[in-house]
Amino acid sequence: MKDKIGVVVMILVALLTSSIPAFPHHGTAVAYDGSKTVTMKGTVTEFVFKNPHIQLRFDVKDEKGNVVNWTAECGGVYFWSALGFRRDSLKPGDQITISVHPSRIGAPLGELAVLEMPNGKPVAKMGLNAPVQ
Amino acid sequence: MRMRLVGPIALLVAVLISPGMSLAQGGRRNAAPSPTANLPFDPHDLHGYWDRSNGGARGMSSRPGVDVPPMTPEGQKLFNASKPGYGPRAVAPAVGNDIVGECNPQGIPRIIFFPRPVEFIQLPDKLVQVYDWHRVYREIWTDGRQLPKDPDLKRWYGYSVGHWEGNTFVVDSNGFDERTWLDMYGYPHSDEMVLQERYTRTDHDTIKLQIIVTDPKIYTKPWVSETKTFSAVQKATITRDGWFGLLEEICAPIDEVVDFNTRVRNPAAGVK
Repeated sequence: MKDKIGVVVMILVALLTSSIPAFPHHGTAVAYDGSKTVTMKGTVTEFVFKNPHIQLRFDVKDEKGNVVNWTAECGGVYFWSALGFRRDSLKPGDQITISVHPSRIGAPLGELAVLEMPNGKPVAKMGLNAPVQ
Repeated sequence: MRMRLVGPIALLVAVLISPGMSLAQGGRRNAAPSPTANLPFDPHDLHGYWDRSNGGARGMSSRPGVDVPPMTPEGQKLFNASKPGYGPRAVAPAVGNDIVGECNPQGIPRIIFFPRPVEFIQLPDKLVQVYDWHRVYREIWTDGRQLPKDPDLKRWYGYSVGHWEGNTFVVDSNGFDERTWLDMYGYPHSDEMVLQERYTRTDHDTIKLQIIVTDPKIYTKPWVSETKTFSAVQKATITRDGWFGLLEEICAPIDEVVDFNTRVRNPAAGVK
């Protein structure tokens, strides 16, 4: 069952990443560089499951071994909950692989592009198809 | 968790790979026809849950700046002064002046453009629209009253009356607070704006809407919107934990301003 879910999820991600254009005039374009994607392995520190923007915070070790706390800006609860996510779907300590469109000024902030949940849990692309206000 | 996600994800995949599916610029979807679209319907019955996520762009026009009537000098001045967070003139919230960025009311027609469900409750004397986004309650009176001539109290969501012209429900509104914008791209209006919305149910699952802004202080001729499309919301789309109905998507300053803008959006753009 788990494998089947994995296949479905990978198809989903492939479709989403290949066919959905970024919102070309999305407000986050001021803050984030949609032409760049940074992928990181991190440890969840906080999952703020609130409207109108979900925030996901996670620690990432940089190349020097320093831990940097990142925040990914996400869409609203409406889309996440429609996919079955709940406020406890991510807990502090969970290991994730996450891709974001990074802050244009290099701050450890980004707009979520792809999230890979820990331990075989689903992968979701929640940034582009989850418009904010 | 895993089991809970199987259904929705499979559904999403099915939707995505269906032949009628495509995504146009701006994230709009031209979805395949609904299986219930051919059911019989009463064109004068608008009640139910509707969503225009897939039915048009998020502004008056198909793209910002398209089909905008020439502005008056006053209109141009206000447009130049508006600093939206979206579109080609976008700036970060801290240096912009979009009052919605701090969770102030969106007004009409802006809230109509946001891709979330709205419930139409049709009563003998009025049609009520309840917008999921910001949980806005709007009354459109159908009891024969006229719009107020010069309402003392301007309203964020104006004063509205509705009547039928054939199979089109025509809503006329006035008395708007001039601090709202027509859409998220910063197009202004005055407190003398008169708005007309024309809703036509074209099949069981579809309502078409056109909006006409008449505001001679700001625009030299009426601004006719792109035609927007509402689709019937399937029950499962707005059911969470077995609880069916509108969600509560309130933009609370304590979450959006104190937390999100301060911690995320502004610093991401390099604005303190």
